[in-house]
Amino acid sequence: MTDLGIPELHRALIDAARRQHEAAAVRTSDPRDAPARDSRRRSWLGGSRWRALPVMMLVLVLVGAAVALASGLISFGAPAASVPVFANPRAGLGRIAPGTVRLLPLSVPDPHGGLPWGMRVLSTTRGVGCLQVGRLLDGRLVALGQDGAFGNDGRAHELPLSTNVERLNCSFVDARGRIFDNVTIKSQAASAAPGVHCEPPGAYAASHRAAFSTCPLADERNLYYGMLGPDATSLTYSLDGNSHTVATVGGDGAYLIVTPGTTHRYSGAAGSHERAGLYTHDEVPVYGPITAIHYRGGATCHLVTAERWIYGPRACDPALPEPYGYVRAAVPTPAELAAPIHAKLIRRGAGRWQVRVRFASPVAISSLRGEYQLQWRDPATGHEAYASMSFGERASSRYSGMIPQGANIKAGQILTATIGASPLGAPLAPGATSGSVTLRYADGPLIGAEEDTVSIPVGSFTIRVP
Amino acid sequence: MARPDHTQADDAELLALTAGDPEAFGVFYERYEAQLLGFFWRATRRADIAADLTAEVFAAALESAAAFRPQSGSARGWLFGIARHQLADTWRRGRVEDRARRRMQVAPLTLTDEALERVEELASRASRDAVQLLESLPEDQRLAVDGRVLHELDYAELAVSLSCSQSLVRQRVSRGLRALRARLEETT
Repeated sequence: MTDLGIPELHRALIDAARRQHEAAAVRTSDPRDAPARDSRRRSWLGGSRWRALPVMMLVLVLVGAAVALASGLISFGAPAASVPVFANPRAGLGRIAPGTVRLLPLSVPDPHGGLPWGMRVLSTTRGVGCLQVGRLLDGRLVALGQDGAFGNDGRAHELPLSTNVERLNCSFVDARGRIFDNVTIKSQAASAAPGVHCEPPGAYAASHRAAFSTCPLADERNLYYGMLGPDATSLTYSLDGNSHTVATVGGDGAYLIVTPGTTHRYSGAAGSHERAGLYTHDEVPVYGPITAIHYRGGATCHLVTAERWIYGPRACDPALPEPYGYVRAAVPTPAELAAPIHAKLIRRGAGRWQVRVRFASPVAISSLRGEYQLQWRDPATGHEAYASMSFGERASSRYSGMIPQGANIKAGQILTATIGASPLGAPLAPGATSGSVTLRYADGPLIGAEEDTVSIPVGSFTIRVP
Repeated sequence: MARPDHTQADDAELLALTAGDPEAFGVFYERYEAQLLGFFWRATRRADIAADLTAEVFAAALESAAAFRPQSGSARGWLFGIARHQLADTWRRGRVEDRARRRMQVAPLTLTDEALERVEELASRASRDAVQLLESLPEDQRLAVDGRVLHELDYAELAVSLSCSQSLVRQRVSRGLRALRARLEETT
């Protein structure tokens, strides 16, 4: 073996490849395997007995006297800057749906004192739900002028609903409009200012340092929060060697845990366990102190503590479908989507050809879940090329950030794309150019998660370029 | 039973063999570990982040090894395509993604300070001489060689980022590499 930098990773990858190989062999050899697993799961769910849990209402302290006291000490400054992430009701994340903004009845003490922490949720016109966390003052979600934020003015700055997408933590709501999401943020600046990453001095190369604020460890917090769904009644977490069981809040299974910061260095999953998972956003709580989720009816997800990076049913021991209670979105069927794809050759000057691809969308797309994808093969290079067919309106012309750019599509709407012209590649070479259109549709909660995205064929085309 | 010797297999063959022989991916890893660590170390100047990103890229590569098609380009280009995507995503999100590792059940690594120093040494060793030499090139050639060789960008991407034609990019890369070769010969 050559001189390796990370021999542990070399071994771990070979082990992963072996597991993949063995799993494939099992699937090939035992076609009854899947039903058997389902049967085991049903049996376990049906057989488990409901046990009453000693619920401690650790996080359920309504905004009260402590905040009133604090509000007398901290004055309001200008609101934090708003970012146009919800600019268009028919594109990108969509617009905030009326009546969906809720400040949850959570008020969690800060481990170093000062204003408590709270959480707000909202849903949009394009099937997205978002969580936002900040400090609480007079029933408002705010960020503080400290840790390099707001010129360290010591004042409270109300957080707008439209803020950095990274700080919104958005996911797809389920078929009943409910949010299921779990967020772990370590090294969060105590200011709660959006976009302010709190890192020790010298943590980043000079070229990137401007993007990060520096602050001592005492000004860092670890945040664990999310929505576990209406069936989740409580969760258990471990802190300083003690186990705590706390009730979830409201009808959404909401929770918020704030602990002192522990991250000295940005090292993500390559670092030690306590450093791992600087920021995660997943179907189940990961890289945090949460050890179990308790559901109505007696089911409990015991998170696999030794393997916290596992998600989905295997995150729980015994296995439990996660997110528990999530009703997946209905995915259009191939029969509903089948449509003729028209390809037309267009001459652009001497020897330069383009292909105009055109079809009528067989279904309406009204959420961020769906996006048509055009795929074709360049006859000159033999390479496969892909392009997202995002049409019409864009989410925002002023802010691209992480906002997906897809837009609503009406049933019957004519969609076109030109191959061989910017941005879809160089002029086409002579030969047969073939391609296809598929609808990529997410049916799970996570935006951009490949494992929860299915590709459904719409149609294909072949055209000869002279 | 003796293990098959994969060291003579090309990259595409290693990826194709991975489904049936996990050790083949180990050989693929050995070929590109230092290059990926160097790529990420140059971008971040952090051994721990470079190690983290390298782990995520290899996990993603392992996950989709069976889907790799050699007719679509080189395995090296494919691997560095994943790497560029991961790097861009990391700067945008302020964190290293770990989804591929979780899907593949690749455990988080506990790297000691000694291990991090080893990573840094390995990553920087490959980068140091090349970077010093690169800095001796004229600006236009340096940017072109840096983009093409160190960041694995294709000519079309480089042409867009450098606001010039693809043929001019090719010319700058070619001249830059020729100059580097000449200087290397002078120093050895």
